[in-house]
Amino acid sequence: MARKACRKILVVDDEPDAVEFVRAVLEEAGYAVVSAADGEAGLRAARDQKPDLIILDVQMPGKDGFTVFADLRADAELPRVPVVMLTGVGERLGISFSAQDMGDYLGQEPDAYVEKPVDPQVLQDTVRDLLIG
Amino acid sequence: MAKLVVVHGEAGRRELLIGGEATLGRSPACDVVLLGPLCSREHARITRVDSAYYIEDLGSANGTVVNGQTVRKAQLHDGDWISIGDHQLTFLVDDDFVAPAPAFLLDEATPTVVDTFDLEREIARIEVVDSRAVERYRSQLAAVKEVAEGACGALDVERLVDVILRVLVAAYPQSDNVHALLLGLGKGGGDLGRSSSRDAAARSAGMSSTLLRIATEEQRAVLASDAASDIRFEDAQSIIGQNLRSIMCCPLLVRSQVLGAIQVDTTDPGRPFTADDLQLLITIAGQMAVAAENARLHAEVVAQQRLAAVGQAVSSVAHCIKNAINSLQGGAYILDLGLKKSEADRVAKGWEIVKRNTAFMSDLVGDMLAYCRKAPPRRERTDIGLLLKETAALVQETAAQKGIRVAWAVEESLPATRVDPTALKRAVLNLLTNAVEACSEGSHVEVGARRAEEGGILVVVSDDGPGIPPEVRERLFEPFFTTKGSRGTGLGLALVRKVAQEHGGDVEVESTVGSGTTFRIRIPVAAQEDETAVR
Repeated sequence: MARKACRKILVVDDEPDAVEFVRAVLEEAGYAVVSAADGEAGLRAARDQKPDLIILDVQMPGKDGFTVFADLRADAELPRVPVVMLTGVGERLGISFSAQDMGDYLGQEPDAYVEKPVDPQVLQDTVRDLLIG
Repeated sequence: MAKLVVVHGEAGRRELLIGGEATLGRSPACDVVLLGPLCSREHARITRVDSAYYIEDLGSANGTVVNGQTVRKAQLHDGDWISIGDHQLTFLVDDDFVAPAPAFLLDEATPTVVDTFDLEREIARIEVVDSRAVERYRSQLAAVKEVAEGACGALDVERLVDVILRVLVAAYPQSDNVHALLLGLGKGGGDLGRSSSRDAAARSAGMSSTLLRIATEEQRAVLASDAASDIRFEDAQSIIGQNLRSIMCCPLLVRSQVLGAIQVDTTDPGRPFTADDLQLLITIAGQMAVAAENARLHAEVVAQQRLAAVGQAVSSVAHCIKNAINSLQGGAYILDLGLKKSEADRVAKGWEIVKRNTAFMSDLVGDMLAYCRKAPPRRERTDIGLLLKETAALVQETAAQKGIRVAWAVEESLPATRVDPTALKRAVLNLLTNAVEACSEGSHVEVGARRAEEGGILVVVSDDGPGIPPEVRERLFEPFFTTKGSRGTGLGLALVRKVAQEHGGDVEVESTVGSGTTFRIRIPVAAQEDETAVR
C-alpha cells in the first residue's frame, strides 16, 4: 500500500476536463498525478518530474502523442517508463497503424492503449498492471 | 505483357512492366516500391497464371483495394484500379481492340447472318466520284464531328444522352425513332434509356430487344429489315397495313466492355438503311462509347470525392463529440465522488465540467445545423453599426478577463443594407470569438464596417494577435478544419464563408505571423437597395 502511494503518473492532454477526469480516477486509486497541456510541456515534465508512468493523449495540437512517445523513447537519459496512449478507435478514418508498422517507425510501441471515453476501471487496471511489471 | 501505371503517389506518374510476378511495398527489395506510412513493407504481390493475372494482399496493415473493394486475392482485369496506401495504380493488359463487325440480317424474328460486310471490297469499288456519294460522306463526317465535339465534352449523363439522340436524328433524317441506352449510368446505378420519335404522339416501338441482345452479347452492329415476304405473317393480318421496318442497332464498346447501345428505325419505304448507314453508325458508336466511358469515370470520381468528404465530415464530428463525451463522463465521475464523500468542492467542480461540455455539444450541434441550413438568407434593412455593437458586447466580458481591448468603429453614413441579421451576427461573433481566443493580454481587437469601393459594404474584424501561418491560412475556411485540438468544431469560419457567399459576397483573410490578422466580409449591394444613410 505504501509503495503504491509513492507512484507518480504524468498525464499529457490538451483538454483540461479530460486531464481532470484521469486525475480523479488515478488519485482514487492512490496515485499522485501531475499534468502537462501539450507535447513540449509533457517532455519537459517527463524530465523534471521523473514520473513512474506516462499517459499520452494522441490528438493534440503541435506535437501529437505518437511524436511525443517517439521523443521519449529516443531520449537516452530518460528511464524507460511505461507509456499508455489515450486514443479514440479509428482516430483517423480508414487508417490504422499495426503494431508492426509502428515498430518500424518508432523502434518500439507503447505499452498500452486506452480508448476514449475512458472507462475508470479499465484505466486503473491498466496502470496497475503496468506498474507491477 | 501487363503494365502497372502509378497514377498518384509520391513519385508522380510511373509506368512499370509486369512480367510473371511482381511484389509491391515499402521495402526497397520490392519490384514496385511504394513509399509512405500507409504501405506495408511487403504489401501485395501480382502473379501471372497462364494468361490471367492475380493480385494477393500479403497481410498488409491497411489492405489492398481493387476497384473500391478490399481484397485478399483477386483476379486483375484490364483497366482495374488498385489502391495501396496513398497510391493509385491502374492495371493494363495489352488488348487488341476489335471494332464491332457489322452483320446483315434479313429476318428480325429469327435472325441469321446472311453476309458479312467487307469494308475493303466496298472501298475498292469506289472509283468514280459520285456527287451524291460525296454529299452523303460529307454529311456523315459532319455527324461524326458533331459527336466528337458534343458528346465527348458532355460529362453529364443526361446531356450526353440528349446529344446522342440529336446526332442520330441528324445523321438519319429518315428515322422514325432513335434510341440510346447507357448501362449503369441511370439513377441509383440502373440503366439509362431514352428515345426520341419523329411523331411524338405515336407510341414508340421501343428498342428491339432481339437486336439489342445480339448487339450487346455478340458485340456486333446489326442491320435488320422486316421480311418483304409474308411467309411469317399470320393469315388474319393484312399485309397492306404493315410498314416495312428497317432497324439498325450498334453496341457502345470500350475495351471489349459493353457500355450500352444505340438504335434507329424507320418505316420510310424509299430510304431503308443501307450498308453505308450501318458503317456510319459504327463510327458514331465508337465516339459515343468513349464519351459514355468519360461520363462514367467522371461520375465515379465525383461519387468517390463525395464519399470521402462525407467520411471526413462524419469522422470529424464523431471525434469532436467523443472528446466532449469523455469530458462529460469525467465531470459525472467527479460529481459522483463528491456526492459519495460529501465534498462540496468536488461536486461543484464536476458540475462545472458537465455544464461546460453540455454547452459545447449544444454549440456544436447549433454550428452544424447552421452550416447545413439550406434556406436563403432572410434579408431585412439592418443598422449594421448597431448589429456590430451588439455582437461586440457579447465578447466584452471574456475579452476583459483576458486583458484584451475590443473596439468598434463604423463609418458614418454607411448605406442601409439588406442582410440577414441573425446570420451576419453569427458570422461576426465567430470572428470575434476567434480573435479573442487567439490574442493575449494587451492585445487589441477591432470590429467595424465601411463602404466598399465597388459598392456594398465591408465588415472587418482585425486584431494585433499572433497571426496565422500560411499553411493554416490555406485551409482556414474548410469545414471541420481546426487548430484548436479537441475544442474546435472546425465549423466557425466555414459558416462565416457560407454566410458571406449566401449574401452574394465572400470573406477574405490577411495575416502575418507576429503582426496580426484581418478578416473582411464583403457584402455587395442587394437587389432593392436604398442608398439613403441610416443614422
